[in-house]
Amino acid sequence: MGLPQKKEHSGAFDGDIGRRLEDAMRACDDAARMVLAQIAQDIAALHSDLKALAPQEITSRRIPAAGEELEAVVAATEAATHDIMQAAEGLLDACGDAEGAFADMVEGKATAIFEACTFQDITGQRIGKVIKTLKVIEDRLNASGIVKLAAAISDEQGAAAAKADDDNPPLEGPALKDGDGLKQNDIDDLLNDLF
Amino acid sequence: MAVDLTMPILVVDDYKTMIRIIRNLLKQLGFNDVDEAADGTEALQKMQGRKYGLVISDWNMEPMTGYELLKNVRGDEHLNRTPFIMVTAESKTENVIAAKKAGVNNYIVKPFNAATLKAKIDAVFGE
Repeated sequence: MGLPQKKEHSGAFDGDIGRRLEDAMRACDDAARMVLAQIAQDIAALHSDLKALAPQEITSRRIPAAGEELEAVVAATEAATHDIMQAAEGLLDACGDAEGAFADMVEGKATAIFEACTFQDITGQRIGKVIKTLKVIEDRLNASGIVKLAAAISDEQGAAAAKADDDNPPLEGPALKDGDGLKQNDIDDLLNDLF
Repeated sequence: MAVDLTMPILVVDDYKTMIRIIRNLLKQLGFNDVDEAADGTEALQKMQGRKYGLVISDWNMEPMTGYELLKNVRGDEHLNRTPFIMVTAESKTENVIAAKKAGVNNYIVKPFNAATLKAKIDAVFGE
């Protein structure tokens, strides 16, 4: 009789497949757990990397500060070039229409100064390119959402990094513009007040 | 053709310092009639009002570059014979070729010295 035989066979098969299914599901569970654990580990590492990268600090403080520093370099070299050229022009004016070896020497040296001053245009253009590149990096970081993600992970990260340590104040180099730093007289006064 | 030291020269650059440098170097070479413009647009306006013997122009300026100025000058029947020297930091082959194709008479790469400026001016005027 086909039907009982089939049922008997079906029962054996059901038991076997049940075990197999259970094994498979347990294996799947283990595999899924491993995958999920790995994903969790990766996310934690990503959080840690983002915290260390502090992109919000890069875009809000470091890149703009770097741009300002570079613009200050251009302005300072431009002012210095102006002074140097004014001095060279003064030498030429002092020579007036004089002729002879001395006048030739002064003229030659003044020309050499003018030639050397072309550095300012070249460095200005190079620094301008760097400033543009910094701006592109800043814009792309902001557009990528990395900054917002990092801010969500650690709102206090940037503030903590930016906070000055009284015992170890940050070194920021020359003041960018008047009013950014103390003048010598202010420092003298401050030192006199302190000691 | 001898170089006419009395010819008016137009120096075009958006860097005031560079104009001053070129003006001083030209003075050393004997040229005293030197006008200036801060970009191509201003240069074209000045060229409409005065006939210059030579234009010395930077390339990288806004809103009108030296390259656009050159093409405008060469496209203007009243101005197209004006000698034009490009003085620029752009030193790539394609820049020089483009300027040559647009009709530049000579090309000086920054930084440069008085001897180079003199040599290029002499070359433009066939000395």
